[in-house]
Amino acid sequence: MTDVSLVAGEMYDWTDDGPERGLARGTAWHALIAAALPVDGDVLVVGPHAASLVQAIADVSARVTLLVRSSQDALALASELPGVEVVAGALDGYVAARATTHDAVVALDGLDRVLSTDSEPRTWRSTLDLAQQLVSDAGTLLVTVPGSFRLSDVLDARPAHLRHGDDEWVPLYSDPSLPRSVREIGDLVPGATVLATYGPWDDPAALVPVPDLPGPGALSAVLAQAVRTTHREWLADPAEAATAAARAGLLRRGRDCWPLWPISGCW
Amino acid sequence: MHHHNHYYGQAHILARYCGLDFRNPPRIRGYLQHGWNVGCGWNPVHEFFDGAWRFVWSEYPMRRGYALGRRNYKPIGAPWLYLLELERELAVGAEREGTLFFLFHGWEGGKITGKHKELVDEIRDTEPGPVTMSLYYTEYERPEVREPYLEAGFDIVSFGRRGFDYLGTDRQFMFRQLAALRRHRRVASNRLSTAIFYGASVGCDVGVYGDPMQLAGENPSFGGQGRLARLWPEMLGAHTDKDAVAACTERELGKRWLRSPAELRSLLFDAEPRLA
Repeated sequence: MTDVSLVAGEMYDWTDDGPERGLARGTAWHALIAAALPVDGDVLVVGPHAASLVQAIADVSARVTLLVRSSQDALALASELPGVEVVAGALDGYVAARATTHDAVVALDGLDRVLSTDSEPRTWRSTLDLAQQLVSDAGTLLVTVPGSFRLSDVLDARPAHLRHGDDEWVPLYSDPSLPRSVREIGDLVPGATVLATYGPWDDPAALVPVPDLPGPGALSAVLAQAVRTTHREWLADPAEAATAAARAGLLRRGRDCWPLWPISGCW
Repeated sequence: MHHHNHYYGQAHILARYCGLDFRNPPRIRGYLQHGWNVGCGWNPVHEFFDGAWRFVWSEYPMRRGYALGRRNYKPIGAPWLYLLELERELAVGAEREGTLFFLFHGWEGGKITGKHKELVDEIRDTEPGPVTMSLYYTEYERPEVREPYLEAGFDIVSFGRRGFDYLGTDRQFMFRQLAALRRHRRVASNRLSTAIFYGASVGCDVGVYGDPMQLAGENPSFGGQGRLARLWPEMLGAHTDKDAVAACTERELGKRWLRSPAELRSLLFDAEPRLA
């Protein structure tokens, strides 16, 4: 019998490993783990992450706890991760149950899939507060922030009512607490290092520190390619939109840049 | 719409609140949640017509149902809250004494098993005053369940039958329950369940303790007893914090969703109110 711990908010008949958005995985995240995670630390991974990614974290850490909201995901992941404590439940439930901090908290799937149907609704900002409470002083927080003007969403040909199916349980953002630029991320988490990612949510293709972003011309090409990798049907050619954005000065570098790319990450 | 709507005379109470026929309530345009529920508002194998409304007590079952792909939810608050609006005077001012203990009940298809004699001892050790045991008729009619409580000197009540297929519905079920709760100082049960919230809503102190007595065929995908402890810890224990219990009770009964008679009538019923 695979051992899974429980905190409040575990979801039944549910999985976050869906066709549109699966478990966080892939080379970009492995590279980030290798570069940013403290060695031999006590790490909490929050949200749906693939076993291979969690195992990579466990390989360099003294202790790893994985928190996922779906009880069936928890059971499946626990069977693949013998050295990791897998907890089923919501982030608010975890905070309420365990007065503990970790050397690092890793939320590479973002904060949209860490609360459950049993949680009180929270803003993005107050969900970040919960994650921050779990980080020890001088600890590391890795969290993905959704870019609010993701080309992959803006150009999505599906009408709004067909976009969010029964396989999703995520906030539909009109949340003013969600940071809308690199500057706002910096205001929220002073000293944060912000990286840009492109490509699908769960398996981004690239991870670039914001100061090192290519110029508008090259960036628009990267963006268009990244948007295509999400395999949706588009309202317009992503290359056309990306080029127009570059011409309009929307792909400028620096703290006021607008995350046009599918995801932006911060650490 | 569905015979569950008539359970405990709840459709009747809502009809009366809306100025409609209490004895023969008009059809409700959907499914009415008939008891406190840790899931989507109904049992997991309940069958629904597509497109019909699901009238639930609060937003909590609505959220869980949405995640399961269910739609057309409308929180309206528990019918119990409408009964409280209708019966502001019933048994109010009576001297409150003792504990009304609800033995966690089975239903017509699921019998409970448990150690009744040990529960009697625990109730005796915990309750400071006289004890009234409330048994649902499915337990009341089983002598082997009833006897240990009678022998212990407890009073025994049974509030009636909730009815089935629209037949045998005791319309006074919840009125009797309300009067009894307002005459007791405490409400207690061996499992967190509907009656505990009803009691808390009329000022009873709350205790939930003792062998929870498993329901035969209980669906473990609800998380069982552990889930109750994780989500509603403030409701559990021989003695509980009154303010925390009151806040939880308001949430779970859906007090913020209480509708006016005109609003509820337009949501639930096609019928027009009777002329006075």
